[in-house]
Amino acid sequence: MKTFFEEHIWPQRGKLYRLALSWVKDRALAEDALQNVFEKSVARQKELSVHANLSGWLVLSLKNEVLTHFRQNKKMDTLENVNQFRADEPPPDDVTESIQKVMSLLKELPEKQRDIFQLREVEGLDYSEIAGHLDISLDQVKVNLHRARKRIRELMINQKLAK
Amino acid sequence: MNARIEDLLAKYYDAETSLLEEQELKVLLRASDGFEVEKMLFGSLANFRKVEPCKISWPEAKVRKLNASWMSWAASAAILIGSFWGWQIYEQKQAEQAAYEEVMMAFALIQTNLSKGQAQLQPMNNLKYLNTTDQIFGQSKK
Repeated sequence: MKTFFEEHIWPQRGKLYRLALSWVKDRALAEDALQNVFEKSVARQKELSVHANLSGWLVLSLKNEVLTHFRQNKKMDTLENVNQFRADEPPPDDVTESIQKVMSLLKELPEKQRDIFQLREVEGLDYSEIAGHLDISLDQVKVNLHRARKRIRELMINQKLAK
Repeated sequence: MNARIEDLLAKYYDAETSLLEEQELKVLLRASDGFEVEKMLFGSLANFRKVEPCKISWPEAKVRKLNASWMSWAASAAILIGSFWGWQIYEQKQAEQAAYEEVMMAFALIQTNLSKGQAQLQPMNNLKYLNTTDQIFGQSKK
C-alpha cells in the first residue's frame, strides 16, 4: 500500500522544484531546499494527511527553507529580497537558452505575480488551485495574473525591438 | 482563425481564459503565421515545464534503531519475569485446589455423622403414638 507521502507529496516534486528554481536560480540549492521539505513531510505524514491545504503547506515550507538558507548566509528576510539579491546573477549555465529566457522574464515580476504566473503557465493549475497553493483569494489570483501577463508581454516586445 | 486567436489572446491577457481555451490558443498559434511573441513565450514556458530535479532522493522515515545487546537483555528479563509470574499463578491454583478438596472432605464427614445421628433418633418418631410420658418411660401409675 502506498504511503501518504508517496501518493500525495512525491508527485509534486517537479512543480515544487521549478518554483524553488525560479526563486533561487540555482539547481543545487533548489534541490537541497526541496529535499529538506520532503524530509520534514515524511516525518509529519500523519499530521499532513488531514491538513486542509497540503499544497499551500508545501509551498510555504519550501519558501521558509529558502529564506532560512539566505538568512543564515546573507540575512535576507523576504523572498523579494532574495530575488533582488539574485537578480544580478545570470541564470544557471546548465539550462537551455529558452529556460534562461523564462527565468530572466520571471525575475522582472514581483514575487506574488511571479508565483501565480508560473503556477498557471508552467504547471497548468486552475485559478482555485493557485489560490490554494498560495493561500490567497481568487480575485487576487486573477488580478495578479492579468498584471503578470501584461508585463511579460511588454518585456518580450521590448526584447524583440532591442534585437 | 486569426480572429479566434485575437479573441483568445485578448481574453488571455485579461486573465479571463479557462485552461481549455488556453490549450486551444496554443494549438491555433502553432498552426498560424505571425504572433511571434506569443509563440516564443509559450515555447519557452513549455521547455521550462520539462525541467525536473535530478538529485532528489526518496526520504526515508526515521526509524529508531534499538541497541541489539539491550534488546537481548530486555528479552531475557521478560522471559524470566514471565516464567516466575506463571509459576506463582500455578502454585496459587494448586493451593486453592487442595483447600477445596479438604473442605469437601470435611463436608462429607459431617454428612456421614449427621446421617448416623438421624438414624439413632428414629425411635423418637414413635412419640406421637404414645399418650403419656409414663408410657414412654415404661412407668406404671401409682
